[in-house]
Amino acid sequence: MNWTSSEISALAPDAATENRARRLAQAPKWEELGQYKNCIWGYCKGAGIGSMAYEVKIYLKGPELLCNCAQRQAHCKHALALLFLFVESPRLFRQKTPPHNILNWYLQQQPQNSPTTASPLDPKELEKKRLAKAKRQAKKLEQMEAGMEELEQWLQDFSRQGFAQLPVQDKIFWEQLAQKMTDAKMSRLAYGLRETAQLLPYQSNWMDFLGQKIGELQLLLQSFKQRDKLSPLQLEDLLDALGRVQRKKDIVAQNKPIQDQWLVLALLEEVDAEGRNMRRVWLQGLQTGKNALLIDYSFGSRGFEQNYFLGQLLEAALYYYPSAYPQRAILQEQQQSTQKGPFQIQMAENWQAAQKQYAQALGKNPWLNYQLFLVQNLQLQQQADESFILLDQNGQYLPFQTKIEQSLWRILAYAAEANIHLIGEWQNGQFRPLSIFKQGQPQAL
Amino acid sequence: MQSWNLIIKQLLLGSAQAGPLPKESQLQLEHWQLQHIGQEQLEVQYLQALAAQSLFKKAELPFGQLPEDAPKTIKIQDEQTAAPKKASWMLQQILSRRQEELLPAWIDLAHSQNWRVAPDNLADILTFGNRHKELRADIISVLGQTGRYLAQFKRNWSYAAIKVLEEKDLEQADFASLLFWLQQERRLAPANALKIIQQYWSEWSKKQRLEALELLQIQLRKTDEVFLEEVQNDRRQEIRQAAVELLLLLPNTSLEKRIQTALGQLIQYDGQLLSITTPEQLSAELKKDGIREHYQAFSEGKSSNWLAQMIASVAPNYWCKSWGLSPMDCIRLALGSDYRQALIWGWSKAAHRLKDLDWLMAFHQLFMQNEPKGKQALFFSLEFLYYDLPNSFFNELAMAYLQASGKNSIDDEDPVMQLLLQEGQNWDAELGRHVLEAMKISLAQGFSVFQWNHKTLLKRAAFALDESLFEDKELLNHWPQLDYSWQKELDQFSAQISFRKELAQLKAL
Repeated sequence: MNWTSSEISALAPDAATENRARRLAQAPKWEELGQYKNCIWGYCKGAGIGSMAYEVKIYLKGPELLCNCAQRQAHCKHALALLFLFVESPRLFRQKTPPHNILNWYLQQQPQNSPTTASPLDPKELEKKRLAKAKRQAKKLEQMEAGMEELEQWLQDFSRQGFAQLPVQDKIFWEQLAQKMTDAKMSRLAYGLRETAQLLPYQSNWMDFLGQKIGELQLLLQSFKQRDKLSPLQLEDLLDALGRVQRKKDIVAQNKPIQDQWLVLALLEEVDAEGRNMRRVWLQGLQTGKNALLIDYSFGSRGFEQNYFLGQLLEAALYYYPSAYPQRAILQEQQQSTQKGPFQIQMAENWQAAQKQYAQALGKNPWLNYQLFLVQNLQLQQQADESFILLDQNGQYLPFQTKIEQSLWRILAYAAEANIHLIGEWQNGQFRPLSIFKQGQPQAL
Repeated sequence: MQSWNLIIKQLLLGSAQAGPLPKESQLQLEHWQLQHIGQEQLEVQYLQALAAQSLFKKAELPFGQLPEDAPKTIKIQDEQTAAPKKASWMLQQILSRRQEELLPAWIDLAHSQNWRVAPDNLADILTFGNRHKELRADIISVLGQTGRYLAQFKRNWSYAAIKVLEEKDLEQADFASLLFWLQQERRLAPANALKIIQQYWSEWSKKQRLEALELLQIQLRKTDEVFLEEVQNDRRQEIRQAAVELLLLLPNTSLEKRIQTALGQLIQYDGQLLSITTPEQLSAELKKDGIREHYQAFSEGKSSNWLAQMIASVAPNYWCKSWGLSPMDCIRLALGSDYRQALIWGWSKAAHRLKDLDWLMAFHQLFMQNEPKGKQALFFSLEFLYYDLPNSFFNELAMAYLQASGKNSIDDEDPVMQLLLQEGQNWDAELGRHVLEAMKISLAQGFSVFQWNHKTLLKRAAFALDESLFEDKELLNHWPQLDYSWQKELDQFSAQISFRKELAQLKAL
């Protein structure tokens, strides 16, 4: 894997850490630098006189970076500095056998050729486990039914009295219902209620927005009541929309992987309605042309477990969550590809085609929250009210929003020179551009 | 859509006041077998209709359609190529880490390779130019057409929203474009630029006139004097003052001669003694020539204040010629006079404005040897004598200070610190080596967290050191054993030098 400075910069949790790492990326500050296959390591001298050296090891193909310093961030300055140093002066890293602990760690990072199979359990034990699981599920379903009755009552009361009073309700009003839904094991539904409470005051057309959200709640309620009529995959989607929690290892164990080279097309980090740091990473398989969405959360200052950067190509096995319209996924056994592009990706020719794909997706999974739009040959135009629109080759346009002003200027600058291929996300009735596909590479906005 | 609006309306009001479900919705519900219509209460029917409609609504994107005859957007074809990735990344670092001193070096690099700023960096550099007026012309020169196009979308960037003009197009040009053209023309053909300024002068507002006067500083020459004398009659005080300030930069002007004549009656020197009287009143002529009622920077009484301003308006060399004395002799003579404050202040201001190196050196030598104290102490600071010095003189002066101290180290409070910390000055190889070695000796003798001047000096060195020293690893890397607070500074110094090295390598390619 040939790393570049900008790729390493993308791994840094913030600019300050990157700055510190760059300052630390100097040979005199390191001892016993070494390389073994795709693993590099080194010992960074502590800053204080007589302080201990930090052991840093990096699996280049992951990338997996590990340092034994006290820093709780995912990638500390020492780990990034070692990578910077490796890029700038690879000759400093002599090929040698690593110390025992580093070798062990390196071997753990290697992709497993066959999934590890647990030792077979005693059939009695298995039956006991199955029964316990069924019992847990039945209890959960009972709680959900009780929650749904509560929701039904709430909806009908307001339908009778009129929804006009909802926008003037304070957050506690929504929070009370959200709490009940959380207690009824429907955390996703509760999240939707909190999000509605947050977004409602900022909607220019609050009536449509509210109607949409109430309609979705009723659709969930109605579908839950008639869940026996749903196909297994539709039921999966329904349960996901309500907030069923699935363990990643179960998804991996129960589904077939799709082996491909997955290109990171867009990344987005934001704080969600419940105050968690959420990251969405959009991928496309270069052979399969399938899109996939990785969603993960970070807590406190720890950062995300895995690091991705725009334009990264990963050879990996991807496991979709079971759905009538597979979208959310988990990436396993990932290895950084040596291919640098330019890449070819599947894109919609115009807005109409993108909408068609979206409508088809909604037909399969009506509770879809996010949709990736990849549209070719767009132009940017300013309207009389000074807002901007994205115009396709057929003269059809879509308004859009950028949370960061800088993104708008970048789109404007790129679009001034040539039509642009835009990658963005559709969510809550708004299109948000995330990256531009230029010269066969996604580029940040 | 109609049924959606009807449903929303009814649900907002409440089903107590609602009529039957719209026909279209009834049919939809029947079609999807969502409910047996008529068997449910009205509020449930409405909710179900809303659920069905919301799905349609969700799939509906708020598209618009441009009329076929709408004007087509024209794509910009820039002749310059956008800066490649590496150079763009370096520019981004310069802009985001506020290393503005390196921006001219990046712009030089772009000029040498015929690059323009890549679209990624345009917004940042335009914003940067808004804060740094002095760099605007250089920034505009590397924006390319795309950058100039982008500049029209934000008020703060309007300085760069210019069209590249030919002389024949000036009539129709907007002021920003005309100003940019004048700036370029002034560098190449100053007389023609002046001619164009004179041509449009009467049409311009006060602000525009001030901006035009500002650009006359580029290649200011004796032939500009006639125009500037005319401008001295402008009815607005700021414009008159701006013209006077330009005239004061020119040698042997009528303005200077008028003030010399006035001073001739006030200051006499008989070869031994100075006899000085102050002006009794501020005449209209003196006012026109820029002498103010009370100049704040010089805080003596009224007539002394006028005298100081008059002295500051005359080239200091005039006194050397008139009295047959060297600058240092003149200063010593002044220090013995009752009017020492007015004389020293006036001469130092004039010497600094005209960059009279003999006089500047004389003032600095005075401070190197023995700063006037006691009765002779000056009540104003001469710190401004460190600012805006010609680079070669700065280097010569700094070396003179270092040698005059007689030590091979630099104290944290050494007067030379103030000089060395001046931004925008490059240190030649000799000075750079001398300063770094002196710092090392000082730190080896003892260091502390609180050596703020030393720390700032190290930061300055990272920007000011001559490129020829970049390969001297011994000089740059070998420092005495220092504590954590110092280690951070040294790391930053090394990182900055590496960055400058990369920039230099890119230029050499």
